[in-house]
Amino acid sequence: MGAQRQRDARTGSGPAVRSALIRFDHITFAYRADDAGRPPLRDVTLAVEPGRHVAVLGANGCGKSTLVRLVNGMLLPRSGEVTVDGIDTRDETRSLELRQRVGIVFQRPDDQIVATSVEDDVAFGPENLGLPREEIRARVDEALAAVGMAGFEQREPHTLSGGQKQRLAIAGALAMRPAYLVLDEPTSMLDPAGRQEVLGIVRRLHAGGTGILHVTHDLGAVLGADEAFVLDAGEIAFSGVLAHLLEAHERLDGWGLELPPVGRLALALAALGVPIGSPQLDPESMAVALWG
Amino acid sequence: MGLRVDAASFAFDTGGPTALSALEAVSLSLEPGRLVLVVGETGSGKSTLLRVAAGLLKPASGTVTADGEPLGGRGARGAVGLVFQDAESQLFAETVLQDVAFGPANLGLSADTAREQAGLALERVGLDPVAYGGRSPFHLSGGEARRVAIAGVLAMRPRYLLFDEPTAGLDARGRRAVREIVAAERQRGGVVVVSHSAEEFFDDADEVLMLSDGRTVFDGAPRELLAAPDAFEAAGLRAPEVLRVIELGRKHGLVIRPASLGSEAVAEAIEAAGGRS
Amino acid sequence: MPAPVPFGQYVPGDSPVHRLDARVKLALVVAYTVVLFSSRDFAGLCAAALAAFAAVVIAQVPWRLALRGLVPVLWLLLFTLAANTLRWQPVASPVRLGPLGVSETGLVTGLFFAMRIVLLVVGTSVLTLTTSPVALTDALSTLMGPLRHVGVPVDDAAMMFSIALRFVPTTAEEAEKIVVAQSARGAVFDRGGPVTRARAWVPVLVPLFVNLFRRADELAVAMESRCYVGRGRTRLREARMGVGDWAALVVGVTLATAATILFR
Repeated sequence: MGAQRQRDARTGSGPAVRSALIRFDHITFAYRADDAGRPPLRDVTLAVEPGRHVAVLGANGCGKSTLVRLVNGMLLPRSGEVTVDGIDTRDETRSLELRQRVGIVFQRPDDQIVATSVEDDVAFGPENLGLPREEIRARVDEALAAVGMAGFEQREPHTLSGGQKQRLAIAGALAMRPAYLVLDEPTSMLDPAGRQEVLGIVRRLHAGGTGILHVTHDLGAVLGADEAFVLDAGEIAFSGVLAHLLEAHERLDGWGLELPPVGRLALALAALGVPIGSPQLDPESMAVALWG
Repeated sequence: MGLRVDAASFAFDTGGPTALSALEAVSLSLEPGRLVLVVGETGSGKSTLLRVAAGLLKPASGTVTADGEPLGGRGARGAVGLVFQDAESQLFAETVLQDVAFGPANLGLSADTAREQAGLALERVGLDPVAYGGRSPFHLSGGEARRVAIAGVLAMRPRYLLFDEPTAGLDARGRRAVREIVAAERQRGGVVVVSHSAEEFFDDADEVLMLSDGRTVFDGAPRELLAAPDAFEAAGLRAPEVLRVIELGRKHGLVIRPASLGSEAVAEAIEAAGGRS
Repeated sequence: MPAPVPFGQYVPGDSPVHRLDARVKLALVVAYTVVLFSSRDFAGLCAAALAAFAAVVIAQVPWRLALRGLVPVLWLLLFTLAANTLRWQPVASPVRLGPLGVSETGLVTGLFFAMRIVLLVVGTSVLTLTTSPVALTDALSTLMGPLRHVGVPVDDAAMMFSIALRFVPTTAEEAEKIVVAQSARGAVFDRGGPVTRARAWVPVLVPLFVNLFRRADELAVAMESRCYVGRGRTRLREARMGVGDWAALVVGVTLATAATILFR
């Protein structure tokens, strides 16, 4: 039984896939039974289709980290259903398969690195799947190349910068060949250089077809998102295209969010009557909008 | 008067578990009522400079004085307070009040006085001592924990305050709360803020000190830095995003000179430069 | 200034001893220990000493490092010598120190035991100086592999050990940061009697442990997210025994067996 589960996880196959996506369906969640009055999540519904970059925004404490742990069954919802490519997170018999499909990168770089060398850590996932040695080697090389860390194989984790550690964590997730990548505040503990490194990789992965669920309080980190949700006190307060969120910028403060600097500049320019079309959030788009 | 670091040098140190970056003849001068912003990439020596300025590290050469008194390697015994990066990791006591009172108690004050100063410090960071005093420091939100840690330093009533990345890892609300604390403390004494995101404190700063590889590459008013934004790149830093907009405008032949990094000021400068296509 | 090397810790190198398979090294150390403890007299110890000397030379390990492991056991050595040599008010003695006398046979016995301790320390130092902790853990878990069949959690233990090794430098960094932060708040760690000093470490140990527990939780979540179930794992790297390794093993075990028989 266990061996079959591992084989399914390895190949990503198994009973027919009903719908290929990550789906949260009317999720309610509370950490303790007596929290029923104010659940960390209340009636949350959202979906991540293959190849789409979905952002879930919210201040700390809004429930977004709970969402991440619900995705792969680390936590189970009190009511409602979480499915990944048709597999329900409540289905223990298919949990390995599910976890192979959803790679998760957490907020704190150090708390996800397990091994004493970079290559051993990237190999951790494939080793868990019981893959043959040559396959593991191939995946390790592939994953490290994807995050721009080929050549770092023998380095010890504590000698890496914050950005490098997060890239290592991403490589570790990629080595599982997941269909989706879930990112839980991946850049909040990094310096600007590290943040750029990680966001660059996220953009590349998105362009390469990986479905991405990006959970964060930093609007500036999800400018490439196809779709955005705002989570406020456990409930979805906004869902739609990112551009619409920017137009609703007066509500951001109430949600504990703020516009990135270029966004604030756009507002100031609009106030002065300088027409720039829709609000721009990054320097390059702003320059184009201003001067062509 | 003031907190003065004069041409401090410190050798690169890999002797212990944490490597400390080098410093080469770096000077810092802080007067009451002023805010000095120190920027630089990771490894440029910012944290080392703060430790030297707090009297926790003895520089290999150069001097450190607070109001004329030299600071020994043992710390400034209360004249200079240093709020470390991820300051909340220093919380250890059973209650918030006990933790905040730790510093004053170590200074030799009586338990009552220490608790009193602790209560006042909690108020200064926007936390009601009655509501928070008895809580466990381990059951606070990230932003609250950070503020308790800051209170722990404020309770020692230092004349000069040094902050190492005080807003790192916090969300918008948390960052705003810390910015308010910094602004308030700047009125009481002098404040130095180290930040790898220059945007956050740029406009509040009286002086910006930019470090690269342990050396000072810029030391002057923020306005001067705005006029010469290439300095950021030279120091290995990403220029603030709005400055990049201005830089792109330069490529279109426009000269844009904002008075500050604030959105309104930059917008005005862009409007004034004209040149819309 | 390079970081000081703590006693017995791995110093990378390219000597034949470094390159020898870690399992063979472990087996040889065991064989060496058997020779040491089954020797009846100095002849056996000298044979072992020769082996240790040869190992240190071939491993190109500086003697300073090889002998550094003796520093912590210096007191034990002196005590062993004294306990065996000194006699209370003996009938006859070449030398006297008040009521204490010296026994010649006792001195010889004491030297024997002391020398054995020295050789044991030097031998194991060669092992830890030439073998990375990771290689040692891998070797140990491979050698103890058969114990799986009798219910010993070999894989879990190896994983725990490997994770512990991974976090040693990280935890050391964190501890240092907390010490500096608390020092900045006026905490003093080197004054007062033993009780005061112990209490002084509470503000460092508490946050450190709280953080470690939190980290353990997070790590478990991260590991399970990458499909860790504790069983059915394959390995990226598997040390393969080469001709040299087999040769060293055979020669070493043969010599050790011969020495044991000869000198017991």
